[in-house]
Amino acid sequence: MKQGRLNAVREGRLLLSGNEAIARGAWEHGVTFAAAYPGTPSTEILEAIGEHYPEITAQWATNEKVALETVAGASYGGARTLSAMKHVGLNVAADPLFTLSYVGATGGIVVVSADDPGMHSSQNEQDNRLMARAAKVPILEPSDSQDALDLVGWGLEISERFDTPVMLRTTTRISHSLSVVQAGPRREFPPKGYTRDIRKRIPIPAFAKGMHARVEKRTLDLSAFGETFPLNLSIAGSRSLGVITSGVSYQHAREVLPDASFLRLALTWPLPWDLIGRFLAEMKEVRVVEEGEPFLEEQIRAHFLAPVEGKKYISLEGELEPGLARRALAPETVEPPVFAPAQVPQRPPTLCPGCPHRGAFWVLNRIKAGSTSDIGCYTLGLMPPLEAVDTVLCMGAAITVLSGLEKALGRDAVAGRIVAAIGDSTFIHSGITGLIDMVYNGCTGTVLIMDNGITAMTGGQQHPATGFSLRGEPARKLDLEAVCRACGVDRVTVVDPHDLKSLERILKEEMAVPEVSVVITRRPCVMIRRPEHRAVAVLDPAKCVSCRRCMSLGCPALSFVDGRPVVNAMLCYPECRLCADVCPKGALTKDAGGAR
Amino acid sequence: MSDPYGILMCGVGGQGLVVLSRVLGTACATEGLRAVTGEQHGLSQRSGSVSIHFRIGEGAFSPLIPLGTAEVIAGLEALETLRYVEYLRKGGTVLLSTLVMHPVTETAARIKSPAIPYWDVEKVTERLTAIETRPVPVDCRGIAARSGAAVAENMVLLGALAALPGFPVGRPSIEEAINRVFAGAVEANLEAFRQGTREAVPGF
Repeated sequence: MKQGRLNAVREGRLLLSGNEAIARGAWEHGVTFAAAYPGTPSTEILEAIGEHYPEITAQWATNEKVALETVAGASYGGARTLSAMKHVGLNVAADPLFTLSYVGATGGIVVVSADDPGMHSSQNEQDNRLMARAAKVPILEPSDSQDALDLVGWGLEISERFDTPVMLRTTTRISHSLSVVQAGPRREFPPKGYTRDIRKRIPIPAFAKGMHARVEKRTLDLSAFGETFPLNLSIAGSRSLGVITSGVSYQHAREVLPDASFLRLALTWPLPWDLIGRFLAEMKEVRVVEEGEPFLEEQIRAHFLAPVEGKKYISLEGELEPGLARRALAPETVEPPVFAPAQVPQRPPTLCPGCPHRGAFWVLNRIKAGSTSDIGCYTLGLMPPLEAVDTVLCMGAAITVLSGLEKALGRDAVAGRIVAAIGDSTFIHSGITGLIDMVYNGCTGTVLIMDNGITAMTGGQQHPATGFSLRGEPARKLDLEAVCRACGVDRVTVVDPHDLKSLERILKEEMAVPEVSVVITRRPCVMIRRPEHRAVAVLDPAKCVSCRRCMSLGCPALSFVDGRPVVNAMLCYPECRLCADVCPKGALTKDAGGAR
Repeated sequence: MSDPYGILMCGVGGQGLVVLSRVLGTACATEGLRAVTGEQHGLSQRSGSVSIHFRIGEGAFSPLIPLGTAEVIAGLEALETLRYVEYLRKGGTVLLSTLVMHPVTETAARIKSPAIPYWDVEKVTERLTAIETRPVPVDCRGIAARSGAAVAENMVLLGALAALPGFPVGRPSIEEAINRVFAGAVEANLEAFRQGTREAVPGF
């Protein structure tokens, strides 16, 4: 798509996703440095900046902590900055965030936390408004793309005026919703330059005590600022029911209750107490409508000791949608369903046809080994028929969880039974420290680095081992083998995961050796590689003995009719020949792929 | 026609729904129509079930279509079209590609019990008719292939959508949007769109 022509220079009405609007907001409001690690639903923010806004120095960081720290440095230099991450990414960046809150911002700092209620692409539903409040960092919540664009500008201004990082908190339905924005020109804010100020930037206890006092005063000042903040909207309607809400919940609620009064808050921490107090006083009844945690509700109840209700009606779990909002807010208007849910076979996400990981998991399954696994496409190795993933916790935990298992139960519990399986990007993000720990503490496990040459699950982003930058420019390529050796691993092997026989042999050998070993399964992701030919697997029905071995690959390009595989030529990936390779009778062949 | 005009677009990850929504949304922006969408990215894109909520009109605030209110279900794959029928309003239209892609779960069940037949487009349209909707099957892939870009099935479906009576977005703005959004193969995509408007909905 050439959105560049659309977004980069044009002004006026543009259709943008929340993420693109944040990128546009960063550009319009003079950001000169941005860094992020990819994570759904935040990824497109840095992608859009990289693609459309060359005035902004933009880069993929090795992880979220690194991203926020580089942003801190740029801010110290007086640059307007932005960092973006998914909600769980903020956990990784929590260490710099909490102290950056004390240190403050010289150039504006906007930290985007893209939360994922409903867990469309995440492992938990944490509500990062709680994180920001714990860090005493102000929170801005957009309700659509226009808000997202505007709140980047406000965030930078608040950041500089109140000397604080600011969290811009989105949710999936903001990040990945298109709506029209009024786009304006860029205003330049050249970096002001660096001035040494140790009392500001070194939180040794002697200085940090003063910093903390400043943070507490700042919180009071921000609360006062919120009283007249123009994006805290008070919308007059019926006084019998008032709704206090924020983010996308406002959009659901206003549809369900077109006549109600609304207090739509965009600055949701610290809260503007007078504004809320007036609203409460005017309304007969007040409901708080919010996804996730009772963040606004608890604060308002505690402050006013007022009987506002929220979570009594709206679940703590999942995302809000108009139907749930109607049942919660206007149950008398709920209409009976028009159609019953259709009974159709489920279609869960699946490893793509030709996926490199399929070979690795097939071999693990064959040798009856499992894996402590990690965050990425390869998590899908849990699905039948591959079923070779045992655990997933957080970025990098594949390696450390295996270490812990071995430490608790001894080598025999893991050797030959379970390996660590981690992607290339995830390994760089936070697997390397685990590998060093594993060697240092005398573990003996085997680590599979599933190197498909890209950050795949989030849609194909560059990382240090791809050799390219965010903008696709050549970068120094990280040598994964050398990293592993430098961590103290003497046994490092590289194998093509579609070379099933070699992979099986190597895995058995490495798992038998009583020292840490790394097996790098290297084959490019099918999403980034253009095949060199158009070969399709072909079945010779005369040779097929209906053994179903090909079906043990779980390939979406194979269906099963009359006891035999049927190849979907549209889906079959030309450069994959796994089904032909596992077929014991030579009934499946794939010619142009060439035999190994 | 209802306001907001809801289109529930669905298909299988990788079929080009995001581009379809981008083109239509760009056309809405050109015409000054209020539009809001709710999309899916990430995990589900890997051959999973995907849907996009697309709403047009002054009353379109939530990015999600309430169940039972969509004017149209537009599916790039037949099974997925049936999956999302809950969103359709009574008397709404179901545009469905005749393409069926068998989910791995369906295949897994067939490996255990080979006698169970797979779903096909006839079974899907039968179900849709049985619950009193108006299924309009469109050979998106075939039409796309004949217009020179087999992957332009999404533009064929968009053409079929644009040909629906009362569709709120004009064809010229959609063609302009195709011109703007696509970096390459603009002509093939335009042709797929035009073929979609002409061939896809003989009933209307």
